[in-house]
Amino acid sequence: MPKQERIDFRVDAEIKAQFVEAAESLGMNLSAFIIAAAQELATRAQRRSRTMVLSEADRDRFLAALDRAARPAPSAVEKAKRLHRELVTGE
Amino acid sequence: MSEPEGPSYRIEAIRAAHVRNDFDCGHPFLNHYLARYARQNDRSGIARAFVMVPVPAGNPVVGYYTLAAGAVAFEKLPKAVRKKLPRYPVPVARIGELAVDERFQGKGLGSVLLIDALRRILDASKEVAVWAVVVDPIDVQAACFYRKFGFEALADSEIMFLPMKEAATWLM
Repeated sequence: MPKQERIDFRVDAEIKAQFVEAAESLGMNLSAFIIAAAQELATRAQRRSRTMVLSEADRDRFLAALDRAARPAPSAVEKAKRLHRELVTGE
Repeated sequence: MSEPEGPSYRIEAIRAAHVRNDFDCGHPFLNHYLARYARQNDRSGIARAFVMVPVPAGNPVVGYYTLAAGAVAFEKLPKAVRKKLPRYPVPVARIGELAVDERFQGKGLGSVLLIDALRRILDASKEVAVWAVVVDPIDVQAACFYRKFGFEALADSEIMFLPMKEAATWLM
């Protein structure tokens, strides 16, 4: 797609300096850097807001897990439940 | 019974009075989300935010997590599979962010927040169908954390999940 749209925005000097330095350290120019960073966050936001769509293999794995008998609780869960009891006051 | 040592905490719905500008979990996105968007998104219903604060001071925020409803669908859904699903897309609960301030890390507070989140989801699941809890780990370290608590990874997706049935059994 041809690049016809512009994005203009103002930032304070400190943020710009941080972006420029980070971009240079990755060998990117400033706009490529900002686009890459924003795209990463956009992908994340989309994963959050949209219905998650699973592949065939993942579908089978997901549905099999929902069907099976419960596994024993991992020790980390038991430990965390204890800690929660000790550290968190009731509402 | 011996008194628990060390400070205790309260975990509560986010409010304007919660001090969260100095929060630093080492992850700029998660810091920024708490400072700028957590309460805004809570109010607009995008994702509920719950914060952990010391008692009795009530501030500052030392950890937080967010919850939202979500759904899982499939690229391909053969009729035979569809028939077995009373609800489609499959209703799930998502833990969006979960973070602990660096100054409070190493005490297991992340695991306490996760248990708290799962309990809250379990309560909600008594009213609204939730078949699984889904997380989207922000990095490898986060994925390792969730794996310890029984969350499963998938092959073609970044998300990890825990069947609600298991979470319910484990929390009893």
